[in-house]
Amino acid sequence: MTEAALPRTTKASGPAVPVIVEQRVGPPAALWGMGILIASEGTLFICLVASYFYLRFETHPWPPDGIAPPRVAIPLIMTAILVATSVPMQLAWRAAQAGRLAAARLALVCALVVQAGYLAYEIHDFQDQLNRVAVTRDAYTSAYYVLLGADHAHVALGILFDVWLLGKLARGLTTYRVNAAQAIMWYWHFVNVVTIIVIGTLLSANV
Amino acid sequence: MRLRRLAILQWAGLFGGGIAWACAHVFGYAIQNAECGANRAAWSMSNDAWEASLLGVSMFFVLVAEAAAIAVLRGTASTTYDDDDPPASRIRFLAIAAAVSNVIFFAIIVFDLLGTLFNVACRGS
Amino acid sequence: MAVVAPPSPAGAERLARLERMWEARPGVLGWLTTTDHKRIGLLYFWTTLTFFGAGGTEALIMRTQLIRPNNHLVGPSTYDEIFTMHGITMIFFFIIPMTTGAFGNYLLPLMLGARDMAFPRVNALSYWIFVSSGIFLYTSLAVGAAPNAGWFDYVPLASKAFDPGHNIDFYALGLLFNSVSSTLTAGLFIVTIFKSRAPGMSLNRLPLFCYAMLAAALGLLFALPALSADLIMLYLDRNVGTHFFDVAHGGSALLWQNLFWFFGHPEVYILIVPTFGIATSIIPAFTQRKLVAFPLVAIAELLVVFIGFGVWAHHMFATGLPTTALVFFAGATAMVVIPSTIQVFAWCMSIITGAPRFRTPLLFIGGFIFMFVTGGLSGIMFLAVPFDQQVHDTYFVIAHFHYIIFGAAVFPIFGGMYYWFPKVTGRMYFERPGQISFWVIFVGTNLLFFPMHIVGLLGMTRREYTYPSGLGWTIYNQLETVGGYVLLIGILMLLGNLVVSFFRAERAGPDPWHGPTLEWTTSSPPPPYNYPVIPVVTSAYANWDDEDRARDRRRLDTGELVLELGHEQVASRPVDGQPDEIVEMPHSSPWPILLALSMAFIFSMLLIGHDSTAGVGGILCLLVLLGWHSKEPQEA
Repeated sequence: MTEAALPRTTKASGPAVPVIVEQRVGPPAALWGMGILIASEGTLFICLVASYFYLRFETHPWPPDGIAPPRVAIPLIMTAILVATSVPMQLAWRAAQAGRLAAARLALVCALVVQAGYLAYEIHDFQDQLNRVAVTRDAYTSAYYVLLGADHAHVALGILFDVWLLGKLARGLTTYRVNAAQAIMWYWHFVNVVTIIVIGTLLSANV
Repeated sequence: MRLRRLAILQWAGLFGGGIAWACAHVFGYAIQNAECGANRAAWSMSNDAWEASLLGVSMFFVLVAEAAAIAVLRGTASTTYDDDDPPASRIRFLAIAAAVSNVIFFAIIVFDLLGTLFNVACRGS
Repeated sequence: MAVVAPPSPAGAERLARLERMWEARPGVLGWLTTTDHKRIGLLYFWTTLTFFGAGGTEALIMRTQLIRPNNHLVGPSTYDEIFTMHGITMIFFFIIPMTTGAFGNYLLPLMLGARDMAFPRVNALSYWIFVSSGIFLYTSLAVGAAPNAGWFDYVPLASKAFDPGHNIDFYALGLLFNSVSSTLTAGLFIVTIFKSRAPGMSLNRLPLFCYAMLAAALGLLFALPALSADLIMLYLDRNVGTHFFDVAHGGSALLWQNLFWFFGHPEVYILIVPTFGIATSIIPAFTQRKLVAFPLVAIAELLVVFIGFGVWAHHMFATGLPTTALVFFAGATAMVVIPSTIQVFAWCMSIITGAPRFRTPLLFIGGFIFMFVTGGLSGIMFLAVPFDQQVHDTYFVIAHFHYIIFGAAVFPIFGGMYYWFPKVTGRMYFERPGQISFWVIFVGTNLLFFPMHIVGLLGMTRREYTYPSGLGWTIYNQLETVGGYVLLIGILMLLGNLVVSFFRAERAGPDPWHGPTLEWTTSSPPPPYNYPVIPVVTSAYANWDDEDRARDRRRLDTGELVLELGHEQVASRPVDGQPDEIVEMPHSSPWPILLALSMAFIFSMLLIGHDSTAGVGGILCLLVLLGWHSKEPQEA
């Protein structure tokens, strides 16, 4: 194989030294990582919701005899309350990005209080429902409680993220913490969308 | 400006066909489960009509994606995908990829349509 | 290759600083806390080889049991455990971690022109979880309660009523644990491929090996949750008393199958797509020509996995689903062949129109193409529902998937071991014994798996521990068992060649093959920082761009893109690869192995039913995560 016959590009060009800009343009690595988590957990929820509907297509009636379909009003109100916390989470990130530490902390605390209150109520309600209708009764109860429980577990994880972020913000702002605030904000947007879908799925038994 | 428009068309061409087929596939199968499961009485619809509409719409979107890919190929005719600089070379590269993949997606949906129309609905296999 | 001039004093000083900055911690502690992708890749390599040995032993036990009718080497329940563990081991503990964890980890940053993965500690965590999950699952064999319902573990056989021991709990918890490792690896690869590229490496300049890894990573990310959902439901059905799969209470046994195969089919594409990447790396090196139809091969890698998400119910053609439902899967199965065919044509045309040197790596790729096409032909036959129903659960199926898995996954792995051996070890391998090892492996593989087509068509079903005489099956089983032992000899020859070469063969330079991609520009083995200067690329075959590489070397003297002041690398923009910022990378860290051990504790407690103690393990995990995130990277 002669030197001349070896493959070459016809144009070995390009900048002599590429310029690294002052301000990062693309999303930070933290946001990519959170995107991966959202993709994975989102797919898990899609599988659980699909399983719910798969079982529903096979079973008549749905819900089975002796089980009342879920209440509509309270779950919708609670979902709206949770989804509303997307606003303070977004404000918290914006404030952190602008360097306004006190505002960021305040917005985060507001979101956290509402989210924790939501979860506390939901856990109480979950246990209450379990006492009345056991999870081991049939496929409907299995699908119902596991789907709902998975949603609550992800809310709990989000609350842990919030507490961690508050702890970090107690010591000031850094690029790392601003990126973390953005990632955790995205996590909450994701959880809120999932909650809408999960509650919608469970309430569809009324249709 | 021209490159920006070509880039948007390139992404539309690359993802549009795949998304259209994925929807056709998931909802097509879901309709079969709804139509043929034990809970069938609560979900009565005409199998053929639903499948033909769903698959027809997806075929349309695949064709739109393919048109976008071809438009980009024509718009980057003077660029090569390996010797020239990005973004033009990258745009052409992904448009070539899109043009080929949309043909494959179109073929799958054609198979699906023929299969659902020419088989008796809900007959076991 | 051009003679490289020594660096100037300033350049040498920078090199010395880089060496100090990236120096590995010494000793065993250094290996336990490493975040270097090359060390993690090597850890994966040796661990997966060990599991390959275990899975191979299980295979040989089966083959020896089946050498004649009515044999009693192992009884039926032991045989059940052995074929189940064989499948689980080969898929989850050999092929996936070998192709992604070993080859992917070692080579991806090198081919991208980066100094490490985007999240090095996550990389280490993924390895330690993998090892822990393997130990967890093999503990089941040690206590005589290995999974025994097949690698796809259908209910109701796997339910508590029919499998009351711990066997299936080991399966559910072990694979759930393992799936965390694969998910982390997948996410890591995706972020690295988009964010850690060398300046100038736009998507049309991304090496095909990286496209293959991207496809596998995307597949793993979106397929594993289906398996996790299935395993969670199975665990709950067995231990809490839910009724997801219990038909008597409104559940569905087919729900297990749908979810499993929604994972399981992409999984088998994930098995072979990285090895397609190995093939597309070896062929340009040994034909000295660019790969034919580069954009088509790139998109074919991704298409195979994407369309592969839509074919899952072709594993359920014998379950009585409505024909109008099966049609969707037959259509997708027919067309999923096309991207693979595009690649086969591209490989063959590249070899034919290039100047092929049939050294050992290319021999393995030739064998791979032959076996993959054969297996693909038997696979395409299954898309016809009537034929599928005829051969379902027979040895014909086993023949098909072993031709694919052994041919398309294991052959390129062996070829890749030879191809990158000089790069990883700094020594050449012995060529003649290498070629002989290929032929012995090739003959053994075909002798082992080809007769299975015939005996399957003659009616021998799979997963049977023995068979009666007088059915005409015996001769084929005997041939297969002989083939298995010939294959064993070939593999031992391969491994022996590599071990002896490591100690006795001549030293290799940086670029013995004139390979196409960036890893051949740096020394063999690469230094801990991979590249003294971050390369700037202008094509997908960067090692063939001599002017660009000369320009890189000159930058060592001017100090541009050397990044020797910290433990740093360049982050890129995702589409066109422009440099975006300088990021500081973590050094060695104890947190990954501590987190993996905490998770192992949780799963072990769940296995023996101590759920509250498992909760304590959860708190332990949270504490480790707090420690993990306690130190922030320095501001640039």
